[in-house]
Amino acid sequence: MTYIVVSRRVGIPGQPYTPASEADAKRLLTGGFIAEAGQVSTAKPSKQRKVKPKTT
Amino acid sequence: MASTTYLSNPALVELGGVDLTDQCTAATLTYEFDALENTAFGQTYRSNTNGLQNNSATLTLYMSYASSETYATLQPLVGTTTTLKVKPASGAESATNPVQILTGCFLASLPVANMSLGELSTVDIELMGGEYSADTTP
Repeated sequence: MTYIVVSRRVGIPGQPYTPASEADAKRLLTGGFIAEAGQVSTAKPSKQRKVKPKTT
Repeated sequence: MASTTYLSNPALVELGGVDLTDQCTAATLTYEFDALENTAFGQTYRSNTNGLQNNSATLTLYMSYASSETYATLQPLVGTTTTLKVKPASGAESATNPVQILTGCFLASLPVANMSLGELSTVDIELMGGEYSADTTP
């Protein structure tokens, strides 16, 4: 499992985080200090198709 | 008048890997050995030798129940061992800026609510035991 920093209290937000132990990781996840790397999506939402208005 | 003094303003107070410097108003870390008496007949004074390290630390912190703040840091640590780091000043670790470290210290209790009318809530915590070291290597 890989983690990233969420709170500045444990590092630079967005940077990878390596916990000392699984117990540490669980504690920091619960407290909102770090997040699982997979949880952060960089995918952009799909755009709606443009529909040209009819001109009469 | 003292020729050299230190104005309390540590650059880092870190507990369990979490930087709590901006929530902390007091930190005391005591490096101590149990004193075992080894006085024997023939001596005219009591003498001691060192036993086990018996270190301790106390912190005073502003309480905050917000995400990634004091409560979120301390509550999961109660009943477990953790690591405390206190760095006297900013800049690299050195002989004149040694990071004081207590590894494997035990947090037995946490005042989860300490509230007084018109005052900011603070908590005092005590860490017991653990191995003391001073990091002077940059």
